[in-house]
Amino acid sequence: MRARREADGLSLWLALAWVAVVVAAAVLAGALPLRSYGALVPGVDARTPPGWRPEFLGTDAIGRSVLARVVHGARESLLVGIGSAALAMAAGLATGLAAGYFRRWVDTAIGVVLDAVLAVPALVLLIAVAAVGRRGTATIVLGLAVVGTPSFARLARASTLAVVDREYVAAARALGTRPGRILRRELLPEVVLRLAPFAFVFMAFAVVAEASLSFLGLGLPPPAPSWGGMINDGRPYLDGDPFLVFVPAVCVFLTVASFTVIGERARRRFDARESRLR
Amino acid sequence: MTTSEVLLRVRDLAVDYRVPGGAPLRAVDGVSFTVRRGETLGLVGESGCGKSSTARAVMMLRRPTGGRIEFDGQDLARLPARQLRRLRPQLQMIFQDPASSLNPRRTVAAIVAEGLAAHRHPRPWTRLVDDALSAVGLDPEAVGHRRPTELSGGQCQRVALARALVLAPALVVCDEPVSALDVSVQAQILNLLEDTRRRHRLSLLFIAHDLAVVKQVSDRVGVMYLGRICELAPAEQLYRQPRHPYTRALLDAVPLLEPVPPSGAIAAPGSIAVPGTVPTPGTASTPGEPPSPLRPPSGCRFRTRCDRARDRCAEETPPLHPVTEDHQVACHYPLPG
Amino acid sequence: MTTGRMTILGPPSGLPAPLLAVQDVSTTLPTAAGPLHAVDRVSFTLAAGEAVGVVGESGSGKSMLARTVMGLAPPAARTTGSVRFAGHDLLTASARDLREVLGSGVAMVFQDPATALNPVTRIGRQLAETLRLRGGLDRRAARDRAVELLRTVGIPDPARRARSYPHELSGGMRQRVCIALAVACGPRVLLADEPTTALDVTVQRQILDLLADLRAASGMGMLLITHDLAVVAGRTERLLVMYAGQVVETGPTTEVIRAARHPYTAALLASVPRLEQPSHTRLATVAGLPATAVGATRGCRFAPRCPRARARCRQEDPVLADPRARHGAVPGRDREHAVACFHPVGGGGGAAVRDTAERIR
Ligand SMILES: Nc1ncnc2c1ncn2[C@@H]1O[C@H](COP(=O)(O)OP(=O)(O)OP(=O)(O)O)[C@@H](O)[C@H]1O
Ligand SMILES: Nc1ncnc2c1ncn2[C@@H]1O[C@H](COP(=O)(O)OP(=O)(O)OP(=O)(O)O)[C@@H](O)[C@H]1O
Ligand code: SF4
Ligand code: SF4
Ligand SMILES: [Mg+2]
Ligand SMILES: [Mg+2]
Repeated sequence: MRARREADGLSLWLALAWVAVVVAAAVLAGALPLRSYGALVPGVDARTPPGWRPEFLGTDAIGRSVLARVVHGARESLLVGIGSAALAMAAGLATGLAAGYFRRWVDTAIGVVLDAVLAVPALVLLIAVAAVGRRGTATIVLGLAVVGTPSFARLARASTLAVVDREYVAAARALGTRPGRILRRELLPEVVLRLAPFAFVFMAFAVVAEASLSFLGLGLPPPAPSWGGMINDGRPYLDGDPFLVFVPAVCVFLTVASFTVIGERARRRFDARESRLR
Repeated sequence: MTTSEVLLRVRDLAVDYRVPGGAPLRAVDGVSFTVRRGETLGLVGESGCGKSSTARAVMMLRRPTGGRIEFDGQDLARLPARQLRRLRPQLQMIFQDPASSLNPRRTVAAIVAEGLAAHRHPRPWTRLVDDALSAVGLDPEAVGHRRPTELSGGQCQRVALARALVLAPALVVCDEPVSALDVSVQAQILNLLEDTRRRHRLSLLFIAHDLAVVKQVSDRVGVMYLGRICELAPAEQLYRQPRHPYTRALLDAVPLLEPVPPSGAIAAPGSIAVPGTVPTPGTASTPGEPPSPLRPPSGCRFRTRCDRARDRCAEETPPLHPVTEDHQVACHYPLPG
Repeated sequence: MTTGRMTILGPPSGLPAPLLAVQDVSTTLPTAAGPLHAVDRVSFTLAAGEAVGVVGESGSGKSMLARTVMGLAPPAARTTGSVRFAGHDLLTASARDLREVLGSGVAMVFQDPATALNPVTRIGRQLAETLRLRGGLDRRAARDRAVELLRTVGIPDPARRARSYPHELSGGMRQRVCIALAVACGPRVLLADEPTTALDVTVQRQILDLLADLRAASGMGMLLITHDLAVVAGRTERLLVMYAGQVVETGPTTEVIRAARHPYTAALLASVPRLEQPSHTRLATVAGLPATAVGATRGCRFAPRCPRARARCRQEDPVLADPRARHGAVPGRDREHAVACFHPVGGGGGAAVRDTAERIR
């Protein structure tokens, strides 16, 4: 029991530490004393394996610094993860809250639209969005947000239904509070808390999805680095130089695992507090 | 009774709920009553008889299926949303569950200020909020920053009352405001409600299932059974001389602190009467339980449990009619007055 | 079953051998703020056919007392004292002995009939299973007896009703089923923990009548726990008033209610709205909130709310004593009116106390 709790605490700290490292890398990439991610490393062959010298994490298939690309790639992955989660959560909250609070035709209409989105396979949806938009981060974020919105909306609607019948909502109506304010003040904080754990899980999903999109050639245009793109680029050399895939793959794995751990812990914290509230 | 004396007039109120499969459930069926200015009208009845549904309809928290709710001469059910909102401050409510009627994530001060915020009352609100909290016996300094989860049930009900008072209402609907409280705290809140009513010249619609609690605060009392009012009379009269068999049954079922000893029964020497089997003189306990509101009995709804029921009770619905001035009964064969 | 008047032979004069003897029982629960004294040195006895009431506000330890007596205190709890029943000490009995005693010797009815029943099993089946496992009946006999029991507790058309699931029954009917389950194996002691709190008055009356009838018919002892003084008033012979885990007053029910000596009991009685009072009567109140005892406490636990409290009350623990004794030094004997207070109220107030006192003199 106690060992289990300590292991839980440790994994949470490691997860938070890793996310901090990734965030720092993403934010500070430009300021760090790194090589350029687009230019070849002078005097070093392509596909030089990692080592202290001549290049810390080696060079890629063309001869660019893997370290520089991984650090700059963090920005792309994080942007996609956080951006699409935030966007999907915002859209899901708006629709889910409205559906849960107003019910009746609002609920029906929103339900029909969301079901339609859900009926299209995620990949088809993403390819469609990619085909319409320009190739770039914004398009990927948008595409993943569209894919994620129905899930967030469902969760938001269910959470709204769980609290909307509490008497304090009726009390607010009795005071003459307008629906918009009730949604913002009485319902939103509660529903956001219930959605937060899922948001982390979704971020993990988005980071993986970005990698697979690059894999399908829907990712960022070169030479901009992203972890998914790096995995994709390294694939032909998997036999001889697995580190080309391995380095970004480890980054993806650690980030996804960290988001999942944080989301899981957030959910447990929330549940524990809920049971104390009741 | 002139119209200006009457603050709230409810006529033929009906409330339906949609239930899976078939006809809607009629929780309130043709309820009529008035609340006069400065008066407390009590509504009492067993679980599921439609007390809360009536309260919520009066508050327009749920649009009634039928009937009129005239507040200060205006029919709330036909008022546009904007005008209804403007009227809201005059019409406030206190709920049964002290914990769930306050948002656990907001501070007490924010909760009490909510009504002011909703009606765009000019700031600052601190003074009004502090006054309201003091008026209900709470120290604004001590509780203002706390959240409802840190308060006891009695303190929560005080906050709920403060939230209502800050808008200077004319009518406060209290739906079982003390049912969740301990006896000693219940007494504090009942006294507080009485003081507040007097000081702020409020009218109360006071709902509870406890007959003694209702009598304590009410000037007139209505007894509900399965969605209808079966008797409505001044409190003293109703409790002293109930005319409806159901009111009688309710009163007989209330356990008394000092039970009347069985008349004429002298325990044989060496034997003791088992106290539990001492019935209130002249009464047997009412058999059965209220039937389902989905399939209410025809005619008089109490007939399945009434010992006075006759054929007519199954055929004709007894209307609520006056037996004396101010004393109304819905029964074909009321108890002698 | 009738609900009419009924008398049975009382316990033989003198003190009958108690069925259940609870001696100095304490239950302490660990909490973040320190040990919580949920039950603190409680003693009482229960004779065959006798009903003893336990009243107190929320958190006073009523349920914990019942659970402790049943040997069902939470695992984290520390219990001391003894609960003697049929030659066993339920506090130290092995799990096997306890199983043997529970149900057929001591049974319990809970406040919430909805959660006390298995929601996915038909009620007749639940009853029959209990009868087979504990009563040792065979399948057929158990089924017949189950229907019989449902009839006994006043369920109309019991043969058909036996096939219902709990959710198909009203609250009152469910509580009847719970009572049927509790009395299925003919227990000699029934602990009823707020058996009517969730029910309407007319149904409450029926359930209390039913419990009284069962008691009269089988001679079982009953501990009736409630927060409502009026519920125990006409239904029990003796009464324990609990505050913050301790019994603060005990005695014959009518005497305690007519002539309460403990300031808490008196305040509780005064704060109950009564049918016979005119409307708008101001209720007497006690300031403050019901307390729980956490950590080491000194002095009377009611002192912070007590209008009669003086210096001594905050320094010494009052012990249960006969209120008629001069200096409160006589330890309270079980069947007499006793109160744990240095400055009891009333004195000459209650007729009952006065009469008894004179008779004794
Ligand atoms: N939202 C709802 N949907 C369907 N039926 C409902 C709903 N609310 C109440 N009812 C039903 O309407 C009837 C009246 O309910 P109401 O809550 O008004 O009773 P009450 O007198 O307040 O009872 P209680 O003492 O239990 O609070 C009950 O039969 C109840 O089951
Ligand atoms: N499992 C538990 N763990 C810790 N503390 C507990 C537990 N159960 C009860 N308590 C505490 O023990 C004290 C006595 O609780 P108990 O349930 O016996 O009170 P009660 O008199 O039955 O009250 P109520 O009228 O609310 O049922 C309370 O302070 C309660 O918070
Ligand atoms: S109308 Fe008939 S059934 Fe109804 S209460 Fe009167 S006598 Fe009883
Ligand atoms: S001992 Fe003192 S404080 Fe306690 S109840 Fe008696 S008078 Fe009050
Ligand atoms: Mg209700
Ligand atoms: Mg309890």
